[in-house]
Amino acid sequence: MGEPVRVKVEKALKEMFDRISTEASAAVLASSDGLVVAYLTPPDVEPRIVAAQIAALRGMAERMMDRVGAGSFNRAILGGSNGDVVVVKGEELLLGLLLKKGANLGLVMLEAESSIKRLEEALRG
Amino acid sequence: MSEMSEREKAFVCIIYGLEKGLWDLMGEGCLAVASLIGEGMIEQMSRLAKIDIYSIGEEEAFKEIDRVLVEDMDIARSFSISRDKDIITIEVEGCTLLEVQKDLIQQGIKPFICPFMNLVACIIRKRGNSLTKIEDINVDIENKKCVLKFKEYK
Repeated sequence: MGEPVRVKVEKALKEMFDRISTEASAAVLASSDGLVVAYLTPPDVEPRIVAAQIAALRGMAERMMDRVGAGSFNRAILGGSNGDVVVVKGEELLLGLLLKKGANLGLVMLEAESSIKRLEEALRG
Repeated sequence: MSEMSEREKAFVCIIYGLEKGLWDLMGEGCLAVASLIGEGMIEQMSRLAKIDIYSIGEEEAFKEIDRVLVEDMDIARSFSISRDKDIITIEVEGCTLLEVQKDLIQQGIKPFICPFMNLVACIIRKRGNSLTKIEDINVDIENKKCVLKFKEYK
């Protein structure tokens, strides 16, 4: 019997996170209905709630983009005084990254958008 | 469905408004609050029905949902849960909320405020033993029956 799906996804997330660990301080992978699939977060970040918030944010963004005719939702970037939050949409998963202050947003976006496919493949087993 | 009391009508209006308003705002993102709603419900059930869902096994927790929502609160006529490989199926018959859900479904709104789905989602997910997603929500108005499916990733 192969590795459980959970382990495969956690490994894939860790590999991705290691590549941007100088830029990001947390990562949460969520399903479109708000389930936390995998996470790498500091103890003060509750991944279960963050996953639900990521899915709700995506829902709200999709609604808004639809209303203003902006097409389909692909990503969201929230700017904060202590760092940014990036949410990238895959086919069925959402990846949320908390970035360190002054992080290279372009580098993170490139990594996130290419990694989400690998994370989804890991979930499908 | 039998004639609704004034109190039930008020209840239906509140649930309908809540679901419709949130759906207008967030669309499918509303499903993200399903298990969080369940979490809040469990808090109230612990206080009002004096049960501690988190201290008992999963099967026993489902029996408690049945006891409290069906036998004590009379929200539905029956509730059952079964597993077939990676699919967990919940069947609810004769639910009081069906009247609200009917109007919402006609507008393409998924009934994310369903006490059974909210509680089961919360119990399965909070225990953290498996990854599950909401696979299907099927409401059969004619037969007064709802079938909710969760898919479990092994």
